[in-house]
Amino acid sequence: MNPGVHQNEDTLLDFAYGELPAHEAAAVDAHVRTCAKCSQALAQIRGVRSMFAPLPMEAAPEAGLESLLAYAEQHARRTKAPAQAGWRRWLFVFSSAAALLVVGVVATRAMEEAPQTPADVFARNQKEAERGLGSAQLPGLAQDAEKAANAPTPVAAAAEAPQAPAPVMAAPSRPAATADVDEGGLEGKRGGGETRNKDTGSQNQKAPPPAPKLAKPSGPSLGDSLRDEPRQSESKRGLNSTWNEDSNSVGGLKQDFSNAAGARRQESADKKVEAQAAREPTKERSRERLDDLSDGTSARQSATGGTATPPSSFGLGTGSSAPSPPPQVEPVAAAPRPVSPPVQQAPAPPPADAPAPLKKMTSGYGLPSSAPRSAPSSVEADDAETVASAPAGRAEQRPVRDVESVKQALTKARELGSVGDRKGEVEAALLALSAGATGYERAEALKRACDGYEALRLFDRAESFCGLLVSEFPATAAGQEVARRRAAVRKAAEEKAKARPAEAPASVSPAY
Amino acid sequence: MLAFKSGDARAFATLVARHRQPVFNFILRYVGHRQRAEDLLQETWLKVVRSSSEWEPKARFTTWVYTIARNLCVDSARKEAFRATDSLDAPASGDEGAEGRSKGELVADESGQTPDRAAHNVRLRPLLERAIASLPPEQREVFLLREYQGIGFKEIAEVTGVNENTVKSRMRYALEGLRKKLAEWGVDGEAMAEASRTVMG
Repeated sequence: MNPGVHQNEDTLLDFAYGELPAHEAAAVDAHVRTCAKCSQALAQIRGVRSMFAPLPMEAAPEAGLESLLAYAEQHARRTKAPAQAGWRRWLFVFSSAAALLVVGVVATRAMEEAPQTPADVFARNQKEAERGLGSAQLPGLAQDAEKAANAPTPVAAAAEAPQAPAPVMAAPSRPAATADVDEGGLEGKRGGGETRNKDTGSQNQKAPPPAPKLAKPSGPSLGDSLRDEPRQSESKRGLNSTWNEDSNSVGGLKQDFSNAAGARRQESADKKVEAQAAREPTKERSRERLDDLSDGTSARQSATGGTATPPSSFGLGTGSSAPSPPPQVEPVAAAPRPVSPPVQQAPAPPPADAPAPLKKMTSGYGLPSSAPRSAPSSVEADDAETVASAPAGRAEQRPVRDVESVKQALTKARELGSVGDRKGEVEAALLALSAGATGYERAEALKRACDGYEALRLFDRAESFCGLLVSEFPATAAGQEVARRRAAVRKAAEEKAKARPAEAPASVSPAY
Repeated sequence: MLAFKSGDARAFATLVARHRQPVFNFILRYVGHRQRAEDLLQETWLKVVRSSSEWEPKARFTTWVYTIARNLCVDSARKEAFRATDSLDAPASGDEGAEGRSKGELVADESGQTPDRAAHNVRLRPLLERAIASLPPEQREVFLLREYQGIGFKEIAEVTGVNENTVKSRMRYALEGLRKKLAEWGVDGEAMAEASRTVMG
């Protein structure tokens, strides 16, 4: 086929369908007018087109149109979905990250503010013992820490731990003018605390949690005086901080140890406490005495003039504001231990007269001197050995034993002890004692009080109950265990005192 | 199409309303069977929906949708080719009054009127459809796309996948074949000349 003709035919085709540019179309039109062959070819093309042009358009069927549109709509939604899913995915990622961040921050703060776990307590005790206390307190403390660590529900124990030391521990950040009242007792009571708590001095400003329900009237005792302190950050402090604060308060109060004004204030405070205690209802004081029982050892010790026991008075004793001399190594063990049947040793009165027997038992622990006592002079005159002998000496005034209360209190003590709530355990044990626990119940209550106070590092208070346990129940396993423990502590303290004679007074008086 | 691609279903409804009938007519005249044409039409638009993510703005939607329709028609024609169907040119047999006439003539004579006996408009439509159906598929598709769908030769080349000159060649052969077919059936000469004069004005 001739290319020129072929090209001409294509051009005619474009010209027939109007696809040529205007100037080319004009040229082709001019050529067609002069060329018969091209004119005939163009006429044939146009003739066919004109024949088929009127062919009508068929209407598209409606069937399937709706389903088609529905399918398209669904597809459109799916098309949108990925974009939305991407946006939601990012939103989910960011929200999850934010939630994790918040949880992390909260958890971190909670960890910082939460009380120590039993393992932490144990580690801390070991560390402190290595630092300043040496091995004097290590056996008892380690034992208690291990007990706490072996608690069945450590989480619950940790959760309850902040409440435990609140009524027992004292607020640390106390002005020196007020704190000097207790400094003597603290000095004597803590003994090795000066060395032990040096590293915690920076935490002095942290107040422990308040104990409103257990708050007792303002008085010269350590607990009272320290509870009067402001508690701005108390809710944030846990067991650890409370312990540290308590220890730090000791160190801080030591600085005012020889302040004579403190002695005068203490005397006046003692009078206030006595007067207030006399005014208060018996029932309320009963509860307060439980609290006093926690703080009372120092007061009892102050009554002795700080001669025999490491803890010295910061409460009720007259003229006890004077710094007590360095504590002796064996304050309790040297005391004559009256042997009497356990039943007769029960000092607790009947529930109705709960304050009285509790005072009797704890009269040397800092109770107000105006509280009813069967033998106040003897209690106030003596210290730990008086505590040990008082129940037996006053067997005729022993309260009626409330069996149910004793059982309930001991059950409660066991429960609290199993969850690591040492403070609650001690309180329950004290309640059992005040309810007239006898025999093995009394031994158990004394053991729990002894161990609980040691776990709370209130060694002076623990000493009283430990001494009672050893003296009253020397043949029991608990008594023998405590006796061995005390002997080990004393031995360690003596060895340390020999090694460092100059520092002996301060370091030899740990818990016992 | 961009709107539908981004998830606007109403845009697709607009496309359907605009292109559905021309596409259907292209398919119908390509396959020559209404039911198959309807099926292919639905399939074409479903494929448009499914393949919407593949569409790019550089191509006209018309070109794209006719490409889909044409490919489906080609596939359908291939499937039909495997079926045992008689050719339209095969001689009819068995039917009363059909002796000596082809099947194509019978198809065109559905109304009971022969081209010679029916009125011009009434006779012309079946003849034209017969003539289109008689074209080879490659010529038929080009003729349909250019004559009835208004798609240019360049775009037809894109739809059919051949170059533009091939398209124009097929178009010339298609026009020549239609003219000869109509002339063969007695629709030539005066009718075409008259029609041509009408077209040319």
